[in-house]
Amino acid sequence: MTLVDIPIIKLFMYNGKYYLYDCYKNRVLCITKQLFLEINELNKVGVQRYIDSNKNTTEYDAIILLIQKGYFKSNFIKRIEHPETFIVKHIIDRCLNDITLQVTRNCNFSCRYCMFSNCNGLSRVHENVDMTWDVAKNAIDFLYEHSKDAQEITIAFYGGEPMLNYSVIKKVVLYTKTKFFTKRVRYLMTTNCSIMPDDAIDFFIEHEFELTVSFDGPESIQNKHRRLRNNGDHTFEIVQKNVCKIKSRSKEYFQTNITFLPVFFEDEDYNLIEQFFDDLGVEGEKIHKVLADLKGIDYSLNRGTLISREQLNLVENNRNIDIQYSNIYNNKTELPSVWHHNGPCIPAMQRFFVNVAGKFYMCEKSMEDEYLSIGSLESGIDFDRVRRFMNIGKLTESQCKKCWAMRYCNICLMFCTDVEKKQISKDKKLLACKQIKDDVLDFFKKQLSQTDLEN
Amino acid sequence: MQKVFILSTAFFARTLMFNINYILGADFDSVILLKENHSNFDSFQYNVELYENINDCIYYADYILIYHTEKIPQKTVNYTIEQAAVLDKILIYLSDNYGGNKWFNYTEVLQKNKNIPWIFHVSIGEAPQSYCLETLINKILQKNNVNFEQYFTVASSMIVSQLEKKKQLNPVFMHFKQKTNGRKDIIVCSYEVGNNENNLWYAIELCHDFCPDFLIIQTDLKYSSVEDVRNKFFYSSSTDVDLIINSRFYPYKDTLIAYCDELESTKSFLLDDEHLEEKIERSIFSKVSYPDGFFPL
Repeated sequence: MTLVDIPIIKLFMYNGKYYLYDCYKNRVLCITKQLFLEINELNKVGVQRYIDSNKNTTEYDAIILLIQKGYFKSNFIKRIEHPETFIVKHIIDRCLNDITLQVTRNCNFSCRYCMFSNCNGLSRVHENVDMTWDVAKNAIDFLYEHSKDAQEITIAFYGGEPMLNYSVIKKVVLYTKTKFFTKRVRYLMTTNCSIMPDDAIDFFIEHEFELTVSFDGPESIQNKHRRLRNNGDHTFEIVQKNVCKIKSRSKEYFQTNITFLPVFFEDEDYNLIEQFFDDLGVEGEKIHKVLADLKGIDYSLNRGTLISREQLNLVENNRNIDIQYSNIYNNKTELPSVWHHNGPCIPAMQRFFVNVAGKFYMCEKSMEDEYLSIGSLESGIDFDRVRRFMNIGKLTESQCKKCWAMRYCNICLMFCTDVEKKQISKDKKLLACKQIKDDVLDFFKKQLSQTDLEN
Repeated sequence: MQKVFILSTAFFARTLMFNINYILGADFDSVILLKENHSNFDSFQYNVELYENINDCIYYADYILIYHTEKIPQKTVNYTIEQAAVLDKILIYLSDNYGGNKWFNYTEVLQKNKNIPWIFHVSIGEAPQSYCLETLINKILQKNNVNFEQYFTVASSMIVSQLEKKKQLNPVFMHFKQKTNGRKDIIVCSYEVGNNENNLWYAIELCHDFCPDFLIIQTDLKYSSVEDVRNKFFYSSSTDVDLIINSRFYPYKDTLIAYCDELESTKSFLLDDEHLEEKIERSIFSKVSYPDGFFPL
């Protein structure tokens, strides 16, 4: 006989004490060792069989009382489904407001930590392919047709090095101006700043481009990691010259619209980088430092490892995760019977990515593989796939319905891709599940130690 | 044969379009809108002309109604105002940043009018389009020559006040219409709950203390707790909800509101229901009005 009413709980020990976490109530209770053992028993046989056992013990009575209070619920999730599944077509059809155009795949730099600079066969590589004006125009038309209810538009230019296809960037901006009247349009671009003619700078100033410059700062660091692709020459001098040129053309623009993205390694002195940008007159909030993954130097490592590492960095960012988890921890509302764990965004609604060929992907970080594409300019949005991607909980539906950490889960599609087999993988998702559960348990323990301190 | 161009976001253009002839006392046979915000496949209450270029919108319009929200670029608004002057168009400029709006203390209002039947219109959610129903109720009561006082939500009051100040409000659109003997037949109070649970409880408290004669709940399409709200009103104030009306908008995240043409609502009326006016009129009068010669005490 299958046990159908196993409660969705987690029993754990910490600092010599015994605890019960009940998913339905979203509460952690400190319990006695006897109760711990008894609940462990209940967890094996199921609620009904436990009730029927009619034990004449104080633990039994206490557990029955908790059951009456709504604890030890099982099977309360009937179906795994993202709550916006039914409306996703309307949302994407009318509210698209953010598009990233891969104007070129080409790059004149070869950076040590750039995943696209390495031929590992798992990610796309820099190659001499540009987005044509036709594709770019169609992409803007697509945005126009799908942004009726958006209030603001963001168009980001991405590469390779986007300035290698500046003519298309300029055309896109001029064309966009003829299409949008009631929406503010923001233009963003990530550039290595090696190609920056005067007229382009003036154009960017005029259209208030927000530039993110991939520039490591000090000469020794920049030249160590960022070299010219064709001959391996140093790049510091040319980038530094262009950065100063922007500043000289408009100090105000330089201060408000330029952000720097120095990538540094753990063994490098970040103070040097900070000092460099300080001398350049860049305020701290305009520097978005990125810690390079040391493994990233050798990109023969598979991409899956890198993604995990990237996610791990997020998890290690304790403050954010703690705030996120604290909000969930304090939420005592009941879960609806139709539910989906956190994590998946609505594909296309965050940094919708159009590649050089006009194919659609969820964001610019996505592998440009067919199995991850969500449509194209020719065929439009593939809504079946969009619904599938936002409902990745269905991959592990039976596990999700019974998972004690379901409220805290934030697994998105990124965790579920098997880049080697080029498919969405249940196994990859289950691997991530384990990590999430460990994190949640750590969070509980942190909460408990704080409570202990307060007491 | 006049045309009005409404320059605003998709949501506000569609909201202001509702009852526009009644509000402005005009006789527009077409509304001109930007294709940027509306599609040929959308359904509209009026005959609509869509243009891709703002110059065409201005050129073909007799009236230009601007509803300026902070999201609309100032440059576009300035250009439209300039062009309206050059081409001698009638311009009505409204802003969502108008300071002269009114906020009513409903407890005081209802206390003062304790013996007069009242309609309570409660809008819940981020995009219920309360303005549409407030103006429609006004229209229905006017049409039936009812003496009434109407208290608007802050957002609607902002529009009505600006139109009134600019002398663009339809003279028939009176929100404090009284016969010479000063008798009021009905009080209409519209209250915006938004997503604030405290506001909802305030509305329920008003129902408990002053028992409305007719209760309308208006929500957007996202608001899924209508049954829950109905129960709250019923069990906490013994007030049954008489009508539930949905807008066609679904708020997504904080800043986006999607227009959903095809979604049908089974439990309530939709704001763009062809016979909405008749349905509301019938529901209100069958419950609130008395035959001639009878006066409720």
